[in-house]
Amino acid sequence: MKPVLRASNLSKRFRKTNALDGVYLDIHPGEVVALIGRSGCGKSTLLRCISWLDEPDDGLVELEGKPFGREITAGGVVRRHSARQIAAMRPRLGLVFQALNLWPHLTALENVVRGQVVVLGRDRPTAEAKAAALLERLGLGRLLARHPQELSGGERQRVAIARALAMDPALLLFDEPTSALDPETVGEVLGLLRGLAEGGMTMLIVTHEIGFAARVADRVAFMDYGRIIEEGPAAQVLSSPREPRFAAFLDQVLRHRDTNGDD
Amino acid sequence: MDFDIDLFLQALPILARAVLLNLQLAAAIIVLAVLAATVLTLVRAAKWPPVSLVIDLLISMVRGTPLLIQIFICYYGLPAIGLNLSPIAAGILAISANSMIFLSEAMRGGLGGIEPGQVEAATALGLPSRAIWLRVVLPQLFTRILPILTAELTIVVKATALLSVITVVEVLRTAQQMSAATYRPFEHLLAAAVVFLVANLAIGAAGRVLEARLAAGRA
Amino acid sequence: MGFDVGVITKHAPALLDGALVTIQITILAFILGYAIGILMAVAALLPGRLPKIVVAAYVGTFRSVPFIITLFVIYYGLPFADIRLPAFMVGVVALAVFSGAYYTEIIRAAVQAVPRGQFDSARAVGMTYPQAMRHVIGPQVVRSVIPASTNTTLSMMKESAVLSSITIGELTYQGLIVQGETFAPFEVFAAVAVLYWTIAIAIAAAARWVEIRAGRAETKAVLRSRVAARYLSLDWRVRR
Repeated sequence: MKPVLRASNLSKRFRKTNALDGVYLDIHPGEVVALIGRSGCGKSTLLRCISWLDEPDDGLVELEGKPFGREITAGGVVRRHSARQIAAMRPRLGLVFQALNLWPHLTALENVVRGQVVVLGRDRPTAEAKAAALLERLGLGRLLARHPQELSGGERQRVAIARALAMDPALLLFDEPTSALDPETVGEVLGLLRGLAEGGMTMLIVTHEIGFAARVADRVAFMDYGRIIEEGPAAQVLSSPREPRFAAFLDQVLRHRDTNGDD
Repeated sequence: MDFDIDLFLQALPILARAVLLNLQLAAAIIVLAVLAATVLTLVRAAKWPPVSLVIDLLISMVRGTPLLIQIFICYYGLPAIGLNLSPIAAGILAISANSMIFLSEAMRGGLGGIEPGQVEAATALGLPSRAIWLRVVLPQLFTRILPILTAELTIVVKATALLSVITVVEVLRTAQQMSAATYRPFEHLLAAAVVFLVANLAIGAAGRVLEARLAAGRA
Repeated sequence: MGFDVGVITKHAPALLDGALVTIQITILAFILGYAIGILMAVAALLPGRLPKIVVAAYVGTFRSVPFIITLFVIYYGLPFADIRLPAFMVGVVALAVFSGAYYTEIIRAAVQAVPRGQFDSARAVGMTYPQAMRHVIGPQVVRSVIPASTNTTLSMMKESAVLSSITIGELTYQGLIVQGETFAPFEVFAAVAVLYWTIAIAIAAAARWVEIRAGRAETKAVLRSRVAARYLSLDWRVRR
């Protein structure tokens, strides 16, 4: 089965540090991959490079088998894609930011509609129907006319997810979907993600919720200093890590979790 | 294009000396304006409805009419109701009044930025009203509006050029007199522009240095 | 000495003519000045140091020199470049160049104030740069630009009084003429002041209308502490 996403040898340098140091990652249709690691290990940079919001210094990305961002021509030359080419492929990649970045001057409904109309060229009635349906499914049926400033953190998170889903993506990327939420809402959002996963959505989730990764993810990848140190089936890798750094990280997180008593 | 650069260069030192009058006027005006604005703000804080209403109307009028007209009213209009002022006095009055209004509005904004908790604490400690103003509110207010004061000073310096219209012999009027004598207005007016440019850039720079010093002192 | 209203009513047409000219000048100078402001702001946001230096020089110059001098320099300088414009156009151009310096800073600051993430999310959904500007960044800039722009426009309208020095027949010029004929400076300038004030109110009202159309206007913050409000609030109309 062809991978939905194939990232090869992604590298990115900021000043003197290697934010990404040769990252390889495949994601197959229907898979849920959890990306975990300490802060600063390069998880967010990886998401930004995969979605070509930042251009990696080296490496290639393939989306549904097609090169994305840059390609190697028949003559072996690296050719950058134009902004238009990149924009055309972006709808297939749903990105939910840590900061959400909802558009404050638009209503919740319009946040989900605008992309469909402007980028995909759908007509307004269709776009609005789809947006309304999505937002209802996510429990926001009565909040369509509200602006993001009037919504709670969890509600905004769901609008952001709806906005990405409305574009009919092949893959959803999440950057720390629960880090800015209070404990009750965390559970709700994780349940939502689990629902999406069970519905067959392909997802790459950067998270620090190990328990969630254990229950919902098919594969887990651990990053440290810009490289993926260990990767494999969730249950196996989390219960018996092979890399010492990963084992130490899990140990630290579990110990902290026991003190907090949350799960 | 026959720009007489010698004439331009010769005019510069003369006009640089003339601009000193502008700067002196501006200094006097800003001091008056700050004092008057403080008093006005205190009066507004008392919130006596009839007084505050009149003040609001005056603010609206001063903010909605050109400074040049305000200067004309002080110079040409006041004698008609018995108050004869010299050009300089009329000019200082008009610009100070104008500046006072804008500064009071700036102070109103500055007040909004002070933490209410400070005033509550002072009241709870039993400080009398005067002490709260003098020791809690006003010091913070002045620190807050320092950048606005610098901006207002440049505005006042520029405003003094308008006094040339009511015969005050400051830098613009001097430049105009020199132009009349030589039939070459452009070189002299350009020199006047340069003089103002230098003066205001210097004031701006001095203001930034002062702000930095104050910020360092508070840190 | 009484206030002779008759003087005003007799010469009202002349003053109203002047007011009309002031309004025309203000509108034209606003359009031209804002166009300059947008161009300069775009230039200031381009990569590279040279555009930024040029824009900084433009902004710094016209904000440091009194408008009356800027006006004279342009008025007497244009013939040097073999450009001969009627006084009215010179006035409009001078006002536009002057106000443009302020508009530039306002627009540039507003664009830079939009969080970078907004641009990211627009791109993430597949919008091109022009689409992102039109649907996401632009609207946010417009809303934040209106208050400061209104302020500048009002200042520009008031500076237009200075145009009387190059014999443009706007309100101040007409006022000086009427005053010369009637020797009633107090009445005349009071009437002129009221006319300017009316124009200013109209501009402020127009700005509020634009603000409402562009999106929700900000609500005023209410100081909740009664005790603090005695010192820190000048709102005498609010019941506490």
